[in-house]
Amino acid sequence: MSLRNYLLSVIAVLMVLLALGIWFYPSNSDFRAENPLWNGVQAMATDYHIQPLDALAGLPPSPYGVSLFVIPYLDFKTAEMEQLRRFVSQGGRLILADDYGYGNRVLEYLGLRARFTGEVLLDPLVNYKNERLPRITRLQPDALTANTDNLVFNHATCLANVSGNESLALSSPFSFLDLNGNGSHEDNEPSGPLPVISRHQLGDGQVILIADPSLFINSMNAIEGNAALMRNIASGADALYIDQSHLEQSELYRSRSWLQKARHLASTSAGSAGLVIIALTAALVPVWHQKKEKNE
Amino acid sequence: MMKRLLITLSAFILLGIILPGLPILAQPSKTPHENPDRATGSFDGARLLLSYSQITDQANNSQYQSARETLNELEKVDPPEDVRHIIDQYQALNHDLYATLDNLESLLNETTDRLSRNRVDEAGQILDGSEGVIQDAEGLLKDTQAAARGLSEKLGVFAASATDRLSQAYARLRESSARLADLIARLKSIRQGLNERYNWMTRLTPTALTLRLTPESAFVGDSITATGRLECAGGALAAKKISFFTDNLSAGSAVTGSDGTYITSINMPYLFQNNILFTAQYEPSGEDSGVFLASQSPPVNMSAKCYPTRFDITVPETVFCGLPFTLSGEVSTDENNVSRYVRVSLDNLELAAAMVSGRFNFEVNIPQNTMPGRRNLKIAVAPMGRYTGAIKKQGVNLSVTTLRIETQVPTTVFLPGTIKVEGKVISGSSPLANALVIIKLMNSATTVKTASDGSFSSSIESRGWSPIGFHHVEVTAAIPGKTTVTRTIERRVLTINLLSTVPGLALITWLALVLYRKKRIQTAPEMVTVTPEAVKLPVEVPAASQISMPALKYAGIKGRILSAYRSGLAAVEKISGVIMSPSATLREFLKTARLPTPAAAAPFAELTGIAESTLYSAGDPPDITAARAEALVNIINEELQREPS
Repeated sequence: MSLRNYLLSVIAVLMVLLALGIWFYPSNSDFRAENPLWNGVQAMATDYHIQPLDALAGLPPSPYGVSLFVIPYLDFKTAEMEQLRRFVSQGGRLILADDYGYGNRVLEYLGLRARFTGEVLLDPLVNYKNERLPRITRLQPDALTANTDNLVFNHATCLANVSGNESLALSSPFSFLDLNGNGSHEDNEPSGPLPVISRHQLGDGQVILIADPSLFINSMNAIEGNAALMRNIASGADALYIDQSHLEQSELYRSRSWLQKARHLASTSAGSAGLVIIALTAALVPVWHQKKEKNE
Repeated sequence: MMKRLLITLSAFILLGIILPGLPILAQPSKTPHENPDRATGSFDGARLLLSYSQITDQANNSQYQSARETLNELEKVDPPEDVRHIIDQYQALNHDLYATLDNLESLLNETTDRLSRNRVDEAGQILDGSEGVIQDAEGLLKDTQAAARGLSEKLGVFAASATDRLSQAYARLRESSARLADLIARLKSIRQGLNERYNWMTRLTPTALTLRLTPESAFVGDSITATGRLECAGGALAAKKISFFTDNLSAGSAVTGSDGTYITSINMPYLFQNNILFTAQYEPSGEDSGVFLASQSPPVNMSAKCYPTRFDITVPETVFCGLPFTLSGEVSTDENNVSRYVRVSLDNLELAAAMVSGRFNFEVNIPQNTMPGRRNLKIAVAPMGRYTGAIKKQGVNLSVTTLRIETQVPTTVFLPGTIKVEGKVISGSSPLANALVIIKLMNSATTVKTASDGSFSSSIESRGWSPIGFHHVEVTAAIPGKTTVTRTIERRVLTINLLSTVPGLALITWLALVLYRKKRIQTAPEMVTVTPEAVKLPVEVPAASQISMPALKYAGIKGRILSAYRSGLAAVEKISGVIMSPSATLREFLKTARLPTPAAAAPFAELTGIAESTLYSAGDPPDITAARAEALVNIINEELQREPS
């Protein structure tokens, strides 16, 4: 084997191994329905038959009875926000779960006063293991909070401009917003109870605000009353969707998307023809080389 | 070889350098959560002490209810085991202390109120009771302070390693506790002041008041006459205001005449009780406050009359969030039917209100967001004039409209026959009774209702001649009385229709057998034996050696041996039908060519060995080897031409 052939073979083998690794390595992207690891939402998606959407255009035309989870970690285009507004005003239920993302852009567009503060909510006393995992113990009687007496959040924020009757869950009086990030409560830092879940009517539909999307990840959804909250959300919906088009994409996910596109391309007639030509060429090249050597 | 190894290693090293740089398997950097399974943390004792000081401050501001609510929140704290007990004790003591202080403040406020209305007897009783409460508060404060010290010790406040934050938190708690002691002292002082005022007021002139009502019974809303007299030790008290009360409700007032008597009309309140107690009260005001004490008449019992209302209503056992339901009933009285106002509420949520008369039906809608579960439905007919009101309270199951169907359907079904479909219909988390379930398979359908536990079971007979295939069993459940609210699920079953499948399979098997036998007959002779006739037809199979064997330019003994091999090879190629390819070695051909008889195979193997040795040896083989090769060729030809026995 010539040196050139040898190098080409090594590179080809490495490429194939890398592609196989990317294809079969489990997804590790946050909040993705295909991620079975601690930070994915595969358990929730499987248990409640939640359909992942790669674009908001995939929403059903009639949104009545439909609940849509949106975790806004990427910014929205105006057309996408208009799709959300139409979805809610026509009877859909939007569950906007955010902490440090672009949730306020959506709220502003929808014309709601409520906002995500985007500051870290800590609870040094009423918590699960540490202050960044606050327990939410003040739950208003409601269909969404039925059959549970506390929730556990994970690196959450809180809501602002939420009235008493809109608020469905509040943090404990010992919680506070860590504005300066020093982990201790200062006098100028707002302290609990702070609203973390609220409901707002909009047109024929509703917007549910949850100040922490991590509530739904695989490692959190079975802790304390988190499962009951999810069950209550699901029981009030005929169909559940999760928007994945506004989640951050890991390089693994991006690479896998390229491979998926390549596979899709190969499955078209033009792609298949191209593959056949490449395979034939690869098979005939040694024959051609042999013939050439014989002639020489 | 070395060069290749170096290049391979270089390629791996290069990839090793590049790959970690490419964040292929990395997560996005702004992940706003941590793995709760791996999360660790330590108990924040300083924050706990600070929270207690804040709660104590709330109590210092007389916000006892808030302080107790905040203490309740602290019960959700998960402290280390070694401090849990003392925390529980400290919180229990604080609860008692705040409740005692709250009670003490209420007693002192009531005393102030009674004294301001010259009702000294009542004020005296309350004051007596408050003395013991002050002693309780002082004792509880001491216990609380001792418990705070014990807790702080457990949290390491007095240890050399105590942090500034912990020490400051304890200092703050002590300050708050000291202020609480000041508060108790202040309340004690207030009580002392009230006691002195009470002692002074006991010297005022007592008064006496009487009350008489006529007639002794009346319909609600009717006018009755109240008469009586106000006097003191010095005689009748004129121009004094008398107030009338039923329970705590004001029922009117009158002013005494010059002889101390009064007469006035008051209305029977709409209380719809058999008996109503009336009292008359005199409370001095203005200059009289410094002269007379208040007085109250003995209570007078009035018999209240009213028309009863009869109310019957049917309430469904289960109702659904977001869906209307119908209430049917009847409101009636002894008199002619009159329109009545009916209010429907679910716990504290008013659902509907309507004017009804006699028999009625009206629709009530439950908001979509209402909490599901066992709830209390209250239907109240408001009192009207002399007609009493009526209330019916009944528990209802409030369910969500989302239905879930759990079914057991066999995966494989043999037809013709029936398929048993069992399952359960669940609404929210409760089984749904009386739900209509429609089961469909191919062109058949059947309908069944769920039992009280939500279960259903039915058999469906399938029709059709489809031999083998997948079909869907469709199960649809509808909420009772709301056929528009449904849930449908599908289960795939493999159906095998024996009537159409068995004959088809038999036909295919028969055809396959026929074809197999035919093919076997055609191929068997070629595969089994090599006939001598085939050997005798050298012209049909070209001599492979002539085609494929390169020309061998050997002379002498080597030439004789190789010539003999070519002869033997030609004979073998004819018989076996295997042509020696240009790239095959002599030994490879020996393995490929299968001779029908071992008597020919052994000499050919020996001949091949001689030919190989001749080709690859440097010198000439002996003459005897050439003779042996030629002899072997003869043996091979003889064996191959021999008739098979």
